[in-house]
Amino acid sequence: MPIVVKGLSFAYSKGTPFEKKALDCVDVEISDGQFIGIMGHTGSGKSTFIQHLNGLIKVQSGEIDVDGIHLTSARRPKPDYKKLRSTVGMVFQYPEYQLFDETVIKDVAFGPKNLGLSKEEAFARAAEALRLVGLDPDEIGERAPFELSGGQKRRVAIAGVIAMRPKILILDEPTAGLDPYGKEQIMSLICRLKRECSPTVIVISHDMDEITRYADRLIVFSEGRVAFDMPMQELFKHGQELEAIGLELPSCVSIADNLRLKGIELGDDIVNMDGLAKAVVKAARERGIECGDIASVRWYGEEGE
Amino acid sequence: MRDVAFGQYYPVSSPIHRLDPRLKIVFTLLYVVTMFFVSSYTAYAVILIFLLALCGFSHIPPSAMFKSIKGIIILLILTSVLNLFFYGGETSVVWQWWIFKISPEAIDSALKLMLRLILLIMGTTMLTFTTGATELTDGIESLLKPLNLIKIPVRDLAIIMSIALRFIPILIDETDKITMAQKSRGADFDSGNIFKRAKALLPVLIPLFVGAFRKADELADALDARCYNASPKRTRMKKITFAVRDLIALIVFAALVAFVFLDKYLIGGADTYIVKLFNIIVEFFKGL
Repeated sequence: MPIVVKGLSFAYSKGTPFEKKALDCVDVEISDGQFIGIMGHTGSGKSTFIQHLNGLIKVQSGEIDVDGIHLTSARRPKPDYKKLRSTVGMVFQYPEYQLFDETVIKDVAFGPKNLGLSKEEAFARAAEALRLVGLDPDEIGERAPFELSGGQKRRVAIAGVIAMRPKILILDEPTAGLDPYGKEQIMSLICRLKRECSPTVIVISHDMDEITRYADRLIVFSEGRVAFDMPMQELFKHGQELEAIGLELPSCVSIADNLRLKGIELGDDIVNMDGLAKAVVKAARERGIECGDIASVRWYGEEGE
Repeated sequence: MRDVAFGQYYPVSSPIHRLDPRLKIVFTLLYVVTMFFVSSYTAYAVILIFLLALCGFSHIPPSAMFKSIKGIIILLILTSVLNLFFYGGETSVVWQWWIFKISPEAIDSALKLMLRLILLIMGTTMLTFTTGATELTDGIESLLKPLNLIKIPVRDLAIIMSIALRFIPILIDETDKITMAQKSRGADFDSGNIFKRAKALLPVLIPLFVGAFRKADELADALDARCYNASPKRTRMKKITFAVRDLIALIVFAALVAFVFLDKYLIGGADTYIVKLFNIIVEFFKGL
């Protein structure tokens, strides 16, 4: 079942002088199996939006339907929050700061245990989730989370959400504060998770180059509204409007644009580095320059993917 | 949690915001002391009017001031209920059941206690509403300067205090974030008995403390990086000066304190006179 959001509006500190409108009549539909990128300037309402999807913020006006669970401003019937939170897994910014238990395995099992699973089941799920994020449960399961390195901690925190087996995985800036290599690893981890356990993925990101490599569709927020929600090829024709709301075009698009100014036409459908590389090779061949094939741009040591 | 008003600065420009912070600190201390000498409802009313006027002059909506009570509401109810039933003084009992007694004196004392607490919190909140952390530190430092003579590191104490104040909203924000994260992992803070609930708070408290220590470390490094302790003599960008408006504030505040003490020791509580006056007026109209 998809996610359907209709006419969602929200204001913080409603009815006080500090009232701040965060969302203004947002309509979004997300079908199963999509990789959605959400972008927007700080304070554009994107975080408020995703917190709604997990029932962390009570709906003020509008309707949300997530996998058959209906959220409205009405008090009753009370939505099944437990089911909602096991359906939608939410990884917050800097999730490693939310680790608390004595051992890694206990911390990861916290979510499944809250779902009412037995201790053995919860630990089995935790071990599985750790393996999924590329950590060995036998090796680090009994260690204290605070002893791990930054990248490992973040993996453990993601495993804590994965252990609940969510069908929809939402991540708020999963690569913030990591080095390029760590970023690459987390992003390919997310792709693997999408294939193996959570078919729908929603990622908030500030990095156009990064998100365009993975997402099928971008939703751009600005001042509490959905400013753009269209295929990326279309979106990047609105370069000036994007800049007006504080977003930059991905560098592959600027490179293609600059090449066009120099008289080298690469086509309209370049949205990421892979596409750019292929188009450049194609254009070079057309001009009779010999060059080899590029299957995929190799970034920082991807794990053979 | 976001609605907790205590300890927050209300960033507007007003004559009260521009008052000498030293004066405001001294006023607040005197205010707290004075509150314990308030003996009549009239005086409570006068203080409430004073606070409302203060709101007016400082461009702070009174609702923001009233919100500050939210944090002590349980304390308020508890103390006034205890006072109501277990008043220790001489009583003319009207109603009694087992060990519970209610008397007019008890009601009087419970009401006054409640008013005292409410006005205390509201008054002290006005200090943090109208005084930024830097001013507050500068004010405290300036006031405690004499202690330097007996080798007490006043400057360090002042910065410790201001950092503590500054960290309150940050930690509240952090608590919000961590609570949300644990909720989305299915944590349940709202059901079960008191022990279960206390245990449910651990996943919030542990990351909160770890984060607080980390932030403290980072802050210490930042202070070092800016050579905080390098020079024994530090100058400041804004010098605190005593202006005409400070003099006016001094007079008004002195009048308030004087009224409270006169009311207690000379008049013996203005309430009786007001009741008398009211009776005379009623008699007068009856006579017509």
